[in-house]
Amino acid sequence: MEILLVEDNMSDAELTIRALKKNNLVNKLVHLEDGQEALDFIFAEGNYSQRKIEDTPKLILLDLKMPKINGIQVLEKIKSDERTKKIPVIVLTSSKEDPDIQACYLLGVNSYVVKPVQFEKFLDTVSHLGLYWMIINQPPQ
Amino acid sequence: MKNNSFDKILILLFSIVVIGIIIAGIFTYRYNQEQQTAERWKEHSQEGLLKLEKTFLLAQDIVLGTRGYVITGDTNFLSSFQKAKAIINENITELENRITNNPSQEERVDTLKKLLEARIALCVQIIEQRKQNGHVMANQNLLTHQGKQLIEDILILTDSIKTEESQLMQIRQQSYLQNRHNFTVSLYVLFVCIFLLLFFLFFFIEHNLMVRKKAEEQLKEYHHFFNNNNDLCGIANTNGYFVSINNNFSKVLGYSEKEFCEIPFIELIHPDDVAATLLVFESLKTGATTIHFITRYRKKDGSYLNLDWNATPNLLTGKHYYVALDITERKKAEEQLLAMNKELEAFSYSISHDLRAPLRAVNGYAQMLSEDYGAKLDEEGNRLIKTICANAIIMGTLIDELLAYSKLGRKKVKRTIINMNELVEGVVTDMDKSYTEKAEIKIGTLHQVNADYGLLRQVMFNLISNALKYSSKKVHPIVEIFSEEKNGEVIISVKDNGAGFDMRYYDKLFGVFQRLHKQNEFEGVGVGLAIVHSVIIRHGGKVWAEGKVNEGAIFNFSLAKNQNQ
Repeated sequence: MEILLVEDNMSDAELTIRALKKNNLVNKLVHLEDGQEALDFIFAEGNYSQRKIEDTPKLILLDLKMPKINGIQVLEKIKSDERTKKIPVIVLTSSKEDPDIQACYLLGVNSYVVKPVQFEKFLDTVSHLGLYWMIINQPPQ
Repeated sequence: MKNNSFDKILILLFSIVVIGIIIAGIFTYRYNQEQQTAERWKEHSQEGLLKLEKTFLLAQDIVLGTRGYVITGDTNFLSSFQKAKAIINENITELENRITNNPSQEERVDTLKKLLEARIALCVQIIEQRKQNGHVMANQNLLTHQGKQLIEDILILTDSIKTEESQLMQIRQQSYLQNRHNFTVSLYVLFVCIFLLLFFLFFFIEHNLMVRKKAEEQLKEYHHFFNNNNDLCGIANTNGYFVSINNNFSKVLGYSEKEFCEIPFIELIHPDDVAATLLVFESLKTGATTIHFITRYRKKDGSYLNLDWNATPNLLTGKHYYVALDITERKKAEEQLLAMNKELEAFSYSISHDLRAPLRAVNGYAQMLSEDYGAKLDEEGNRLIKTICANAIIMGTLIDELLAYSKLGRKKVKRTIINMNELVEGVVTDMDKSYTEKAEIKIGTLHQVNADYGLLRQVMFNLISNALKYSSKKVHPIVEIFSEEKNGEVIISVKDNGAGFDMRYYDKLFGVFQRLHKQNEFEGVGVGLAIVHSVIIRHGGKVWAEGKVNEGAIFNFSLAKNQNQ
């Protein structure tokens, strides 16, 4: 398991996955559609209780605006738990006007990225992200 | 301060005048006494001279009486002799009394007395001889040299006493005149001092009356201010009770002045504000002034008012002076505004989020369609897909610009002194090279302005990029940036020789999403000038422009030179 994508908008998810595929970065990707599911998955609870918590994703792509538990809450949980705080989390959001940008950085987000409207730019952004975090960036051993 | 020094001067003048009166009084009294003494001495001398004269006459009477009797034997002469002899001693004693305190005169009088006694004794002897021995013997005696000598001595002595006494009298007369003069002078001085005292008293009373009248008038005036004030004004004591409140105070709170002054004011303060109020109250007791202290105050009907207090203590009278502004409505409006702002923010956030997501999908899926099935579509099919993509992108830009516009509208203006040349050069450097390389940009020496740096940078960016954009189709585009100072305002202008605009549509120039050119002529969504307008208006300035189709345009804005925050 390498990338966890948490995104409730199916179109955005499809665009993201397509962009990652183009760069051959989707050999192992899990897509979850809300915050609660994401937390269950990461902490191996509920439906995912058979999972091992140590089996952490190499990268989490997190949307902020989601029903029930939003991205901020998910980020807070991940970054406040010793077992998961080392996982790089990239927040993907629709707007740079987002008032949560400050909160995300305070919670220890690794990157904050605005999804462009233009398809080419979107592809570009996602593939840059994938390349950087999956290949260039050196995670802790 | 001014009154204080006036009082001091007045007290000083009073003191000087009173001391003058005392001194002049003492001198007047003394000179008066001395004058009387001198007069007495003068009379004394006159009387002395009279007595001397009389004594000499009596002595002559004695001699003449003796002589008459000896010659005629007539006893009538004898009786006149006897009479003179009887009173001459008395006269001499009186003379002695008149010339006491003068040793040389006393000595002379003493000698005179002895000479007279000797002369009288001689006369008595002659008379006795006449009685016993008859006329011849006595006559012999009468004509002796001794008698004549005695009389001559008496005459000389009398003269010298007279001369001496006359001299004395003259001296006394002089001293009398001198004293009288001194007395008159000191009396004048006394009069002048008393007059001055009266004058100062009058002036002082007059001045005091005036001050008092003024103070009363002022008090009346202040009373008008106090009672006609729309603020709540009150005077309280250090025990925590109001002693006086103005009309509006009782009107707003619903208590009469009497009712209100019987309630400890702390009882009317909202329980949550009591602790803070007590702190302020204690600090007032130490003499500190309080401004803009906000508490909630209970009205008679039980509802609460938000009051903004200013308070000043007077430590001497132990009174606190309060002025409060009823800010209940303002507070409500502020809260509403805050809520509205929050709502607006949420709305903007929602727009940026929720409108962009579907746009991204439209654009993305059209693009995916083109990638996956483009080969199977004909040219027209591919053109339609491209149009979908292009429009989605335009809408994305529109949303971004609209958000930027609304965000600028909410941004607080933070003024600093801005070096406009630095700002403009920074803006030009940051601009797209494809525009700036082709154009000639002339930047004059610009006046500095007092404005929000970020907002003004945005304004200059929009104006300069507009100028570059609309002149980009010219062979030799020229953009000029210059400034001037006029009537306390700095006017910054950006001029280009580009497409210009038709003045008939001037009123649309600064509207949001208003454009005077077709999209395929010049790209843009029509927010740039709206932002310029909004920012300058928020700085209290003005924006205006002039243009002519195909001959260029000039955009100006003015900012006050010395604008305070």
